[in-house]
Amino acid sequence: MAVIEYYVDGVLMRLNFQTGEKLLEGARVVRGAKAKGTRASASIQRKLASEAVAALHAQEDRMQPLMAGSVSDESTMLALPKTPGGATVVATSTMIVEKATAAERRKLISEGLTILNEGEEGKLLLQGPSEGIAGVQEVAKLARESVERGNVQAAHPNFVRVLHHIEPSPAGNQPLWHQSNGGSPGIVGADVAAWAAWTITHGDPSTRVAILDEGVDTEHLALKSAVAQQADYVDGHPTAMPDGDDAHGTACAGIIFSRSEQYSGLANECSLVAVRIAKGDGRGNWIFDDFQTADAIDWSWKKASSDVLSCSWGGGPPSPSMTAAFQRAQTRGRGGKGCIIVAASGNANSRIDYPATIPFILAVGATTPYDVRQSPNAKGGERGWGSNFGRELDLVAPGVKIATTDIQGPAGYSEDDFTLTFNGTSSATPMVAAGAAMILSVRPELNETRVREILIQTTDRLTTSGRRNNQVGWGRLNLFAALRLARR
Amino acid sequence: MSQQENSTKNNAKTTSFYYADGKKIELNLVSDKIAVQADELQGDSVWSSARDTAESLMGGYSLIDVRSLEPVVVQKGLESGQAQPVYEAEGCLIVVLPEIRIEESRSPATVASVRKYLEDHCDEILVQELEQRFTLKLKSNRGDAALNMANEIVQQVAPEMAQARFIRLMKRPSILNPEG
Repeated sequence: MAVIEYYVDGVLMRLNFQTGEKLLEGARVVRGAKAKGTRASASIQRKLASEAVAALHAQEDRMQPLMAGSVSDESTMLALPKTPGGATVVATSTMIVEKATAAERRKLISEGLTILNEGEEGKLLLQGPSEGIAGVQEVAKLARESVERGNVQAAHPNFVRVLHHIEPSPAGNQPLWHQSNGGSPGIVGADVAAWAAWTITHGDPSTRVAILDEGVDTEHLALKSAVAQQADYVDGHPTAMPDGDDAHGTACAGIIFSRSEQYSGLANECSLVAVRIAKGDGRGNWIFDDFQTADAIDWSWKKASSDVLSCSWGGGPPSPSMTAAFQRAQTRGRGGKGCIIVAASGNANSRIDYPATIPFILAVGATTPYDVRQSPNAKGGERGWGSNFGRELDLVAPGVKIATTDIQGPAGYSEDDFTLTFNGTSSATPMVAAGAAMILSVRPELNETRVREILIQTTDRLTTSGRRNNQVGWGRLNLFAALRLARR
Repeated sequence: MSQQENSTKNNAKTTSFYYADGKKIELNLVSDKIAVQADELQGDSVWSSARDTAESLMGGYSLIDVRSLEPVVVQKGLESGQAQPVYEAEGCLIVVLPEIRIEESRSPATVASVRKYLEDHCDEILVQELEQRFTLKLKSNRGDAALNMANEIVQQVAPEMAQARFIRLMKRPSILNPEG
């Protein structure tokens, strides 16, 4: 592992690098170990490292001046992507300088740098004095020193980026459109601004989100390491593992917690509290017990210290026992600061389902990639369902064809360990729960009311008037805007 | 009128209700379904002809279709507490179990009123008290009696919360094959 520091807009950036050779070695070692989560992660890293090196070799002729000595084999320094679809950044022994004074130019040459190319607007591409990893680190140091002398507009190491192509899927060609919507299909920016939000936080392990659902595959490679606590209020088992094809809770959990490189969750450094409260009957119905569910809610805030409760379910008449338990979570959870409770508005294209009707619960509806409420006739939507609406609706989030975790193996929604087509207000709800968790990760002292206010105030307004309406509430979740306001 | 007499009389009703947030929520009796303890379905019981229709619920209960049973068997089962009635509300099937929860944390006076009510009905119930919560088991083992008693407690004592135990069977939240 090596660290390179350089300035961007006056801010010192730090990139952690690993050599391709080390990554391949590491993966081989870990592959024999028992920790499944680590094995998957190492396997992905190994694949990315191999791909990056192969991609560089393929471009060898074209990139020879940049690759000289530093990026030609598996000892190449690679910074692997943090975000899905991100670039693998390869360090080189070249650097870029912008608008250097004549004196600075002379100084750089005197330090052993050679001008490889002069570009537009006073840009210089310079080759460092030495090769290999030492050369990479040397140019980073020279770039830093050049900025610190104050005679350049910018100076930074030159990186080669290997971009990973995401194969189009039956779900469309942007399986992670909810995180970053490129507009194909849909509207550019009709997303929760996840990538920008991740420049602030991926969440903090001390922040816990309870997924109250039909169980969560807590052995899933992409979820296992996030699990802090689990409980089963259906069968009393020691884990919250679901029955058979009961994949709903696993899909909800992945939207927040997935630690897969390919299908990353929104707040995947937070901790997961998995609570099984229901089971499927195999005929499209859910069975649950009001008292057991009330106990599960109480356990979530009281014993498992959850900060956020995510409830991607609803319907039927209200339950006084559940309402009372939610009320306790909201007033007494988090040492009196209150848990944030998020619930799905429902998918019947009708009025809002209980418990999202409870005033202090954030009621979440679903949108399409075109930033409109999902309804049977919505642009970019699905035919068979509509996001419930009404005066209790607080906000909306993407809810059509969302990529997330699925029960491992052939059970669940897909044959694979991930599904690309999870949908409904069930998928929108954990996005808002992730937002609450991210806010608490940076400002844990905020009370429940303030977190709700921030999430609502910072939505992207979807009405022409900019006002709330019953179709989309206050607007669509914007994680980045919420975090910016939270940090003020 | 005792709770038992009250509930027996209510057996003829096709609707009932419970209180939530101070409002009456109507429950419609589902005439072709009842819930019985799963153990009762084993062996050569009066319910055996409905065994094929049984759907496992929670709390040890199974939902069965009564159409293969003699009406008198169903009636006797409901009256003896071997079977529980099934209601429908807002698209959700609800089985009411013979258990009630009462919660009160605001007022010692209301807690005292709850205790007084429970003492007055001690021949009908078994009471467990824990952390501002009373859990009542009805000796009659009848869910409809629990529903009525919970309503009576709301009307007479008005605690923070009083509810009979419901098991719900509702449409699952996921949307399968929406394009299919």
